[in-house]
Amino acid sequence: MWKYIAKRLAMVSIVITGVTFVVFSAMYLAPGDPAEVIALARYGDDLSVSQIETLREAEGLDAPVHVQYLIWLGHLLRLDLGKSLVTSEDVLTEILQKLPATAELAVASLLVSLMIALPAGVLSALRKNTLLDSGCMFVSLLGVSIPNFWLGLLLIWLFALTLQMFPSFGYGSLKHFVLPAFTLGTSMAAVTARLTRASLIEVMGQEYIVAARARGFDEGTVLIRHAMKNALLPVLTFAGMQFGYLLGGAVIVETIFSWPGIGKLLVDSIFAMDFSMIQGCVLFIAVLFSLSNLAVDLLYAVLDPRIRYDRHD
Amino acid sequence: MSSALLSIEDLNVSFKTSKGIVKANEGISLEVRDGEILGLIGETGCGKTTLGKAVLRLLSENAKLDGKIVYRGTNLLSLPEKEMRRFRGKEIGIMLQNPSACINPVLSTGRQIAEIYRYHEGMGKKEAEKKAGDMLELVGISSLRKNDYPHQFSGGMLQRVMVAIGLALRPGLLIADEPTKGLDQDMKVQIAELIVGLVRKENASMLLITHDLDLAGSLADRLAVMYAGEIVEIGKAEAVISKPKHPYTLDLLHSLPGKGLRTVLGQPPSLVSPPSGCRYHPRCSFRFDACSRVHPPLLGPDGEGFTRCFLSEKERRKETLEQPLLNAQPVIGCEKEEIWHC
Repeated sequence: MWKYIAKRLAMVSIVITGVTFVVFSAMYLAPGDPAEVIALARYGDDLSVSQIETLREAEGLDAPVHVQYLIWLGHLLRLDLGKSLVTSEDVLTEILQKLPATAELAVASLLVSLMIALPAGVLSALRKNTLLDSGCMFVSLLGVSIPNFWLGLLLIWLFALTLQMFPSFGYGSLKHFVLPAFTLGTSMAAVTARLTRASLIEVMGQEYIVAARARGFDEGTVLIRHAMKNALLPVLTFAGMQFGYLLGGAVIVETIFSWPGIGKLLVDSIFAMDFSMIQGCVLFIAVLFSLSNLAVDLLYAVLDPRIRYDRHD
Repeated sequence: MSSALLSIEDLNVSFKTSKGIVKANEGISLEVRDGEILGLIGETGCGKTTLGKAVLRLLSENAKLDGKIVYRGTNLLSLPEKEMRRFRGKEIGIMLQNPSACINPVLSTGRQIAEIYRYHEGMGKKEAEKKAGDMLELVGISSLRKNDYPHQFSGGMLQRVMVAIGLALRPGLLIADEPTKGLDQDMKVQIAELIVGLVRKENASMLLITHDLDLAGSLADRLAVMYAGEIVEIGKAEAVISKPKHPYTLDLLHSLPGKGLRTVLGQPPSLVSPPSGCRYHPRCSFRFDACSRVHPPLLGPDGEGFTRCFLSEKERRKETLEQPLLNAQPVIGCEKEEIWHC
């Protein structure tokens, strides 16, 4: 087990190193001279060439690219993501301030999605090829097909404007959660329900399910003790990846509902050309995503003994 | 003669598939008597496993069963599902084929045995686990390994776990489907002796499904030979092995390594559209004109044996001496009316 954890950790660190490289390169791949971009953000349009050159030296932008990368990595290791080009606030502090809102929304959406997807998927699998199954799968097809931004707007129109049950934007009370969590949760639920159904149908066709019935167990026991643990493995992977994605900030939904999270921070920084903030956000999102995948991998090992033990154990 | 524990009467099992209706079992009638080991032999795909699963009604949803399966006076086919569950495991234990697929990969072996006791006998966790450990010891596995998972066991060990699961509730009848498949010779003998020893000790009965003739011949009291979904011969094990009455049994015996390794000619027939008349006629060395037209009933009894072939043993032996065994030519010209005189 420890060997497995160590292996996963090593892989995560490789992925994160790769991400730092991509994030750093992005600044050079973007059109324009980085020094000019920074100077523009800092001093406005009224720039002189000497101002740009001074800034280039001050920020170390005249050094060779690989040296700049190593220096930047050094800062990262000290958890220094730099300062915002627009507000001069510390990037990490700013991101950490936005993290709770995003994390809360991620948890709420995940809960909404699982509460819909698991019962729907299990029912569909157990009653496969019946009207109930077709109904569930049709609704989930709708769920997959409807884009988030449209569903979000639709929900705002219905529940905020017409029925006035929930606020259309903002953050603070439980009521504020309902619409954004539902928007994110339902689209996730659609895919999760289909996955649960497919996975459970496959497991129910396995010989060990027949063998469990042969021991005289009722269907409930067979389903819960023998089928679900196996069937939920792929569902867990998917939900974990989705959670990682949600933690990174659901960019569109946070923007629609003015949710003060990382997604909205990222979009605002892009509009403001705040390069260091964009870099910081992207890097932070990538790290969170990798860590949530790591958590899934570890949870997977707890549930599936075949992964937990090495062959020669 | 001891009385029947399980008696199967005119059982038909068919599966509706996209390729047509597969008639996996047709007109099966046999009985497993008290304290008896009945060997069911036949080539792969002839419907042996279907019969084993049909007894406990474990077949897939597209299976259609009719006939009677009577266990200790109760017709299992007429029971509601809830009632049927009382018979599974407790009255009739089954060891399905391929243990690595039949044991849940994500639950420890000890837990899979313990849960049987918790479910059926309402035992507490500790007591059930102890009992599971005892059961593992009984089949020759250290109880220290009860927390190990299926992938940590070898094929032979997993088969032992299957024995422990099958016999956990001390059923009156054990159905063992290919319990020695995929094992090496030494392990085969060990497992077979283990199962038979435990079954005999409990004075239970067993339906031993196998394609291993040697094994069935040496362990079973009686043998039933199955071909293309039908029973073609039943009799005392020594009699079936030493004086087979059906040409298929004879060919099977000749295909054994010790008896010349001559394979049975041709391919097993389709169970969707089986051959007309006697199902074995296209592959039979002794066929004659009527075999392709008339479906032979189970004929007998000759002592205790029945056979689904028009030829008597004596007649066939005579022919064997004169004709090469695998000669596919019709050996006797004989019409329907004359069958009984042949």
